[in-house]
Amino acid sequence: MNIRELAERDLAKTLEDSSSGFGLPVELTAPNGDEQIFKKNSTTELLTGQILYETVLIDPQTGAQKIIPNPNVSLRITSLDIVPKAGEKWFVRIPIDPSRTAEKFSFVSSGDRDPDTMRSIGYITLYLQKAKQT
Amino acid sequence: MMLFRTIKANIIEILVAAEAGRYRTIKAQRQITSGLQNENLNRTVTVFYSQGNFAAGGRVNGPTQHDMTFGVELAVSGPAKGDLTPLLDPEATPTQKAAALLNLKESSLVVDDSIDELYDIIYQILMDGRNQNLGTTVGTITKRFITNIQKDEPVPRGELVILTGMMNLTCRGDEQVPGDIQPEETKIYDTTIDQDGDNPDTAGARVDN
Repeated sequence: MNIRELAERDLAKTLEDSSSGFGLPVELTAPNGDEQIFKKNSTTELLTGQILYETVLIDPQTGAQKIIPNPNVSLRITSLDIVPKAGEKWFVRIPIDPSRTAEKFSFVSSGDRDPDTMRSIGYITLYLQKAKQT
Repeated sequence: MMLFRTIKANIIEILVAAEAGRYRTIKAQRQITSGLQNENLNRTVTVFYSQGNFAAGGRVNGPTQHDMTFGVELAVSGPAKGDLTPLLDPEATPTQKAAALLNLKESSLVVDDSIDELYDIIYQILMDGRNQNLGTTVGTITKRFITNIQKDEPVPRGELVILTGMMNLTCRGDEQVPGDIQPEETKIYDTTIDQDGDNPDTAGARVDN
């Protein structure tokens, strides 16, 4: 196995492992309406990914660091039935707290901020907006 | 107090009186606001004196014509919105979910509509004929106009999209020049005449004020 394949395989630990790693359950609904709750080709293993809830920004006016709510989820590409593309609208449910059993809240990944696809290593990051019922 | 300060306070009063739950008026110019503060109908309107031009070449002592510009800054933020029911319903078909997702409005569209509505509201309030004098007596100011509207780029980072914009309100008035009035101090004049060998408290003249 070459190094790239090893790095991609390591995502199972770094991104997806929910017992001793960063993995938290993620539910996706693709633009065509297909839902994904389990990993590709599995009916038992929940789809998991690394979820970050905040980002540290430097305020351009003051130079001070500011922490803003900026939820994003990184998923292993080979675990996905459909890979999100730029400009697409996806419905994403993630736990609101970093806990496997926490209540899930609804978010949208939309064309306002396209996903970052890291094909070199094999994961994709979706940037999430709050979704509210009208 | 100079006229522009009075006008600014009056504009704020006019906007506060017309809020009706549609926005909030901020009375000082803030550097940073969180998107959470401006979400949905918590849209904010900030009023500040931004620029003034004075006519030169007039009387050296006396009223000076002041062309005032007030910045009216608007800030809104919002989430994506739509009918989430099919997306949350495990019995819904993929077709129903796809339709719901298609009709879901991204945050950038939500806030764009929201700030346009706020421009509409604030313009109507400030350009209303009843506010022609901006809270002053008739003839105090002239040429009250909103001269331009500007919309910034939306900030897409974060779970809410933030959008800000600006309206410039100008008017002309005369600034009176009464001179700098310093705060009063309590002056105590204490003069004693010292005489050799005598306690100052018992001899000489002493004036306390």
